[in-house]
Amino acid sequence: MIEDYFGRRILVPIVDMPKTLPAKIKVLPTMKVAKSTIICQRCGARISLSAAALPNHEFYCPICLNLGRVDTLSKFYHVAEPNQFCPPYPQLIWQGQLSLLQEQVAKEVQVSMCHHERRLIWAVTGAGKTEMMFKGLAERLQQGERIAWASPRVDVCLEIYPRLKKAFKNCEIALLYGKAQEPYHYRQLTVCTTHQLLRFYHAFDNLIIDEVDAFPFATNPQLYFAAQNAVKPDGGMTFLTATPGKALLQSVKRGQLQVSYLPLRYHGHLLPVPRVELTLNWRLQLQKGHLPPKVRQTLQHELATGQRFLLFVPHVKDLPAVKLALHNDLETMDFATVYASDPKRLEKVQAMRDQKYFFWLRRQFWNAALRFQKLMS
Amino acid sequence: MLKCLLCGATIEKRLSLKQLLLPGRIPQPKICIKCQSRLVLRKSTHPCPGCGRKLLASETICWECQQWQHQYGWLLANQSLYAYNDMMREYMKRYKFQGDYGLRLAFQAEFNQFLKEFDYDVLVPIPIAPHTWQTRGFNQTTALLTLPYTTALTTIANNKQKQSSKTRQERLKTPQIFRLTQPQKIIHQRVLLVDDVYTTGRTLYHAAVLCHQAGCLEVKSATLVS
Repeated sequence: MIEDYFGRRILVPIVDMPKTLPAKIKVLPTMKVAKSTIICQRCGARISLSAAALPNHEFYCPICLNLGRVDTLSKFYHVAEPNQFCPPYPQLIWQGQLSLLQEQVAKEVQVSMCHHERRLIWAVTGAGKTEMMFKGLAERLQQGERIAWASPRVDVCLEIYPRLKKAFKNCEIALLYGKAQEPYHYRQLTVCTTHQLLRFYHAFDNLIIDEVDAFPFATNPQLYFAAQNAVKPDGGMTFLTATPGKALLQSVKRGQLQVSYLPLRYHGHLLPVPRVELTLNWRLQLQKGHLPPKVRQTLQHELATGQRFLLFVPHVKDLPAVKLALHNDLETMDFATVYASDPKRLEKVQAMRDQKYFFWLRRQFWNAALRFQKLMS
Repeated sequence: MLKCLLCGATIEKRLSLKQLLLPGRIPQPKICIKCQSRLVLRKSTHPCPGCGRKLLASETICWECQQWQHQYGWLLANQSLYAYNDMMREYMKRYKFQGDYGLRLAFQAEFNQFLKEFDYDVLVPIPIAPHTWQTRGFNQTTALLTLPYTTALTTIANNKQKQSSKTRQERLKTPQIFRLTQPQKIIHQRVLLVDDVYTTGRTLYHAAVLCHQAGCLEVKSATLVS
């Protein structure tokens, strides 16, 4: 299907290429081979010839292998994005109300998406970033633009997908991530992980990157390169985050990036401020199968009031010991443990959303921007 | 800083007193201790004399090898370095199917040391199909070898479907897929066939049949995993 090539670059082994191709399909090179390095045209990585060498003076990119190997034995098939979508275009049916401040940001988003500008939406957790995007997104979709909503975190993609489905009428959305079962479909709106952007080339009129400061996007120059390539040369980009890193703020300073700032959550409350409490020898107490008294009291209080919560531990290795201590000290068993490389992670996140557990044990630093109703108050 | 080829963790290197004081090359570890601990040596289990895989305590030969014995009247006496567990499945997926050629170095030293312990005259690696050469770009077996080897076999054209994409029954029914290109190099020799994985044995038995027909003194086989 020719649509599969619209705005994308698909790897094809040279040996399997037919002698004649439809005129629309362009054949693009996969690598630039220089004197001492190769440059992967998909992920932009620059690798020494020795690390990229295959036998017989062929080369491959060892960096973006997971999406299929880019090598000098293949070429890309590409068809320029034609924006071939049939009306009726997606229509916003979301009925929610924005606060005054949100309304202002939503307007700014609308204008900058219209002019294909680059904008940072810097707003605290729970400020309603998604809803502030709706108006701008709706207007662009009505104009027949192709748009992607990408995030470094698959949890965010899985969470945003049903929300967008609910908010728009006549809107089929492609949902792409590493373990997705659905095959690729050409759609006007795409929700995907930032890794999946590597497959696109000058496809999107507007690209939204949600939680732009989450791992691995912030630390991975390949993903930034992919995002740049995935938008059309005159396309716009909108970055959403609660915690912009140095690089983003510097772009703002240099005037390369517009910024909308919203320090309040949508109900106008400030974020709760963490309080530090000291417990001594807590690992020793854990070894004996018990929680530190202060932690136990806090948890008992939370459970008594029926408030669900997340409990973080410093290291994956601590999970079993804490689990045991919880069994010993608290009466409830309704909790789950989860960690980044947990094979059942996605199922567990869904179960927590479905309110199946009272609380959750997780490793620290795992961004808690998952949204749970009645969890964060 | 050395990084584990398999998991990317930093490898801590502690030199022994002997390495510090005596001259000579210090071996560079390719994989970390944690990944190493997940490897299972076939030698350490109770291996089948036919295929080299683990036998039950009560068995002297596995059921599959009894079938080969029945079909050909002889056994291959395959030996493998590592067991095919989750760790090696992941490794083969990345090395062979994703085509991460750099991973050939992960077990190269150990595998060649393992091959040196065999008594043989010529080392004959299993070839790959021309189409695989033009897409994968390397032969996963010869890439593992630093020892000298002889290219005595070639694949017969028109066998596009890969063995790994077939079921066991389909694989066992596969007709001869090889042809000898240089029979003079293996005649009256003790041949050691080398492959990356022993799965059903079909591939190696096809190669071994040709070697026997060409008049080799002895045909055995060795693989990285089974």
